[in-house]
Amino acid sequence: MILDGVKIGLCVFVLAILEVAATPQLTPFGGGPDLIIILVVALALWRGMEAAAIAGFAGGLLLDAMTFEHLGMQSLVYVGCAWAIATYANRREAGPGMLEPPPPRALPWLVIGATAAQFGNLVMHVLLGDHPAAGILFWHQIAPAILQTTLLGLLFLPLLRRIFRPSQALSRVPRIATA
Amino acid sequence: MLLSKNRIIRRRAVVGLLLAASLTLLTLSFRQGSSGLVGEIQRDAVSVTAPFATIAHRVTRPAVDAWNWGSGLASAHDSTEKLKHLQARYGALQVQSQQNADEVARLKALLHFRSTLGETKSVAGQVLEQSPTAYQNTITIDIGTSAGVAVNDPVVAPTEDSGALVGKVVQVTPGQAVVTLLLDPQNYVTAGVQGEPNAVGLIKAASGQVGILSLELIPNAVHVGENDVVTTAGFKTDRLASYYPPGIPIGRVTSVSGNDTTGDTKVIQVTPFADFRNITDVLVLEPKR
Repeated sequence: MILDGVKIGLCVFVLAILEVAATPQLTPFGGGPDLIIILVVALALWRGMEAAAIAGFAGGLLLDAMTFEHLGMQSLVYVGCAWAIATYANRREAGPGMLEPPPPRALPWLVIGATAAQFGNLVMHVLLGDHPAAGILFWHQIAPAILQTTLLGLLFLPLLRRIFRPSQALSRVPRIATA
Repeated sequence: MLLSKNRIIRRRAVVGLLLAASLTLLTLSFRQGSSGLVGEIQRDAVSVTAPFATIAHRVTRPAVDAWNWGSGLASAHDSTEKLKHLQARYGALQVQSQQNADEVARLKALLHFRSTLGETKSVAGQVLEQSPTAYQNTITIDIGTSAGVAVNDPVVAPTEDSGALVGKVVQVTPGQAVVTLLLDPQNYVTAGVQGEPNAVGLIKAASGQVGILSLELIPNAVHVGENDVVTTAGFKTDRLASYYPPGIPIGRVTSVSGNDTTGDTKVIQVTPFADFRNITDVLVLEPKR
């Protein structure tokens, strides 16, 4: 539990630093990748809702602080994403002969999470009084960010899977028939 | 996933607390702006993370430079392609513009020539075909009897500053006419040298020289010099009249020599004004019949 907390804290810090300091310079289309959502999705799938929500809250807070956004704005979005993904990704039923459902696939949920985070940020900005041009925002922020997040997810999800190894896959354990 | 009721409550409590904390911070941030507690937290956070951000920036700098270099190359390549495309387009437009200017110049010259014809009526036409082989020296134009064109009508073409005789109509249909050019060996025209009333002879295609005309039957006693202008003579007697009105420019004298066979007349080489390989517009003259 404590080890998980340390790992999550380090990951949040490193990813937030990378997201603010490094990736904006590498983005060819504008709208950098959302690294925190990768962590949030990974934790929501493999560590549960609390860990994902805490990581999202801390990551969002750090990002808001570093970028001088309204503090709490991204936290709200990430916590919402963590709740939604953790709730809906683990709703699958166990297959025949299995004690637990198979673990959800990470990449589709990352796409969903990245999309939700981008539109969540848009909604927050609109609610807070910003009125960005929808077309420009979509093509220069939302769409590139989703695409780049998904591409970077191909790299980061396996790394995070190694760090936050999912609990024993009971789904592979066949149900024991009893007389 | 099998979860106990307590765990579910704990989860909801954690998420609810975090959402509430986020909303509280957001409200404070929105109310206080960069001043106050929230602004202080942000400044502290930046001061803490700044060294790490600097390190991350420096560590990733080579990758950034490599990326920028690669994207710069791609951008330069794109720019080159765009420039090439623009250059090609500009070239095509320039050619088109030049063609239009040439056509305007030709038509102006034709108009000018038409105004010099006096009472002679004329009808303008365009060349539809030019004989594809060297065996024929004809062109087909897009006007015929319905436009008043008749066999033996003289045909002129615009030149740089005026017009020049190119031939005569030999066949005509309601919509088209075939014109035999001066270059055809069977085509003779009564012509004279401008400024020399006695220098009247027959002009025809020079034998053995492509694109050159020969003015013959000019007496040796008549002075003809190089660069003299040769025009149609347009003779008229009681019984006969030339098909060609007088004064239509034909060409310029390029050389004068004696006739080896008779010894009494000159052989004068004439370079035609008309560019027979590139006739596009013509005027068919309708002399009084």
